Amino acid sequence: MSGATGLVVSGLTIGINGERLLDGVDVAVAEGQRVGLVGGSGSGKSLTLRAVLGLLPSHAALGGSIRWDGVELLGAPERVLARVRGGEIGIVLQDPATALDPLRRVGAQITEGARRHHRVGRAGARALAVRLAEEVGLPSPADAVDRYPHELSGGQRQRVQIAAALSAEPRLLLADEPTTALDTVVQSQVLELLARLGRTRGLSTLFVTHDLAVLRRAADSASVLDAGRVVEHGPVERLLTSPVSATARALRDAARLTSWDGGRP
Amino acid sequence: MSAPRLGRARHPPLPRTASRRPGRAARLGVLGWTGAALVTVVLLVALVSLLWTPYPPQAADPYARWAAPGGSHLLGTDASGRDVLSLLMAGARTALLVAVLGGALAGLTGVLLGAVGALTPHRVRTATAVLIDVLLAFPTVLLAMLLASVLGGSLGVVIGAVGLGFGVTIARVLRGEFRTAAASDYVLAARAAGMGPVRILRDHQLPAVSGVLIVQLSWTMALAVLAEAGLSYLGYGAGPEVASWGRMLADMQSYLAVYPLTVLWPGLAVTLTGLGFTLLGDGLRDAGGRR
Repeated sequence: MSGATGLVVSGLTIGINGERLLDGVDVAVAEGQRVGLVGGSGSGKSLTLRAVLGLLPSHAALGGSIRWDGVELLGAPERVLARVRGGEIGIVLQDPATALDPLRRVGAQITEGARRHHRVGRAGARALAVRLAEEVGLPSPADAVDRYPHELSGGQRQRVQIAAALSAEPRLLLADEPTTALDTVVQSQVLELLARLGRTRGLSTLFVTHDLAVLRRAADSASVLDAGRVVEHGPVERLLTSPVSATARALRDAARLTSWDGGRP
Repeated sequence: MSAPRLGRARHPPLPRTASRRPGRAARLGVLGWTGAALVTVVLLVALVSLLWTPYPPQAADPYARWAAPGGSHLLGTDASGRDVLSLLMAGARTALLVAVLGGALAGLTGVLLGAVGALTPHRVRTATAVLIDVLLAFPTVLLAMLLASVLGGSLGVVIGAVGLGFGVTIARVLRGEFRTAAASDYVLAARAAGMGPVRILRDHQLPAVSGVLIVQLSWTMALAVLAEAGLSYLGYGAGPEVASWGRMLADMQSYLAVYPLTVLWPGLAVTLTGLGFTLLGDGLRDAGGRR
């Protein structure tokens, strides 16, 4: 265990309005690792990601510990969280149709994090936007950054989100079902992009999904969540071949039905 | 090799779009354009009146009382021999002054109260929401009369009452808009990028509510024109030295049976100006639409 660097979530509990939604979740993502979090709807996957960045509503009751490079983030002052958000940990949300501001040009949204965390001027921001747009594979990047989100396709918007998440050069990327809202071909392209960025940028990822077939390409090991608890943990290949928990088995069987390449052990 | 080969289809080009989005103006529609035209006419008349009116608006000519329309007084004169056309033109100035300043104050009030009612911690925003609802129950005209009885009637009182009274209505609408924007994924994404609340407000939330705000402002300006006329009519607004359509109505109404035409002009002016702002607001609303 390289306990000092990376993300270590231990015993995380979340209650909202007296209802316990997360019950002692442990997840660790060390430098360079690709970790998955799988589970059905309402199992607490997305909540966990949001808790890491301190983005839950203020009336959420949190317990346990979230450490980033050894620094406790849970209950940390806004100043610390603001530095970590975007600058060290980036996030990609599920639905590219709603995650981008419809009234702001793509380029401005891509460089939001960079302008917040690094001193980037107006001209520098544009150049950076074009470079990032190119890196995430947007066609004609110089044209794309001047567009509004509704002038792009769903997959292209998701690339914009990924570019935005990377603009302040975080070391960990949280991915909240980033391919769920996309058709399968585009889904495959986005997974490929994330894998490539992970290699070229030395990025760790915490990838949330309900689809084991997707997870197989996005993570090496994973924790299976059910009703706010981790019920199983292990390498993704093993979860696919010999799942132990009922939840993992159900997810495996579902992946077999829907996937184009997964599920074949 | 788990990734399937997708060949040349990997990077489809950017979708083709019209070179630029069609501006809002292009989609105003017939009624919206009518409203815009009416407002423009009133604006032009007000501007011209600053430089030129056929007669000085307040100059009473005792030898030309109740002059008939036509001749040297195009719309005739009133009981003290003032030129009705000149009074009408100068009245446009007053109406627009109240509409613009009252509208601006209402907009400011609306944005501030709306933002506080939507974006602050739970207790504060709930309290603000209650405050908005309480103020909303208080009629604007009553507020103006209350202010006038303390401060004395003046255009300032009208502007203040319009700003506060109608500002609360705008706040009520914007509060919802701010809530929607605050709960949106793109604001979550902006927070996740490390942006602070002030920048998020400036870069994301104000633009998000601006469309609704513009429509509300247009309607508010219509109400402001009506409120100015009404309050001046009642004697709580423009003083006797200020030309006002509402005052003209009050001055002329006692002669309604003898010279019915004279009330027609200020009445028409108020109606058309109010209608202009309302239609413009409707047009803007329809043009904005929801994405």
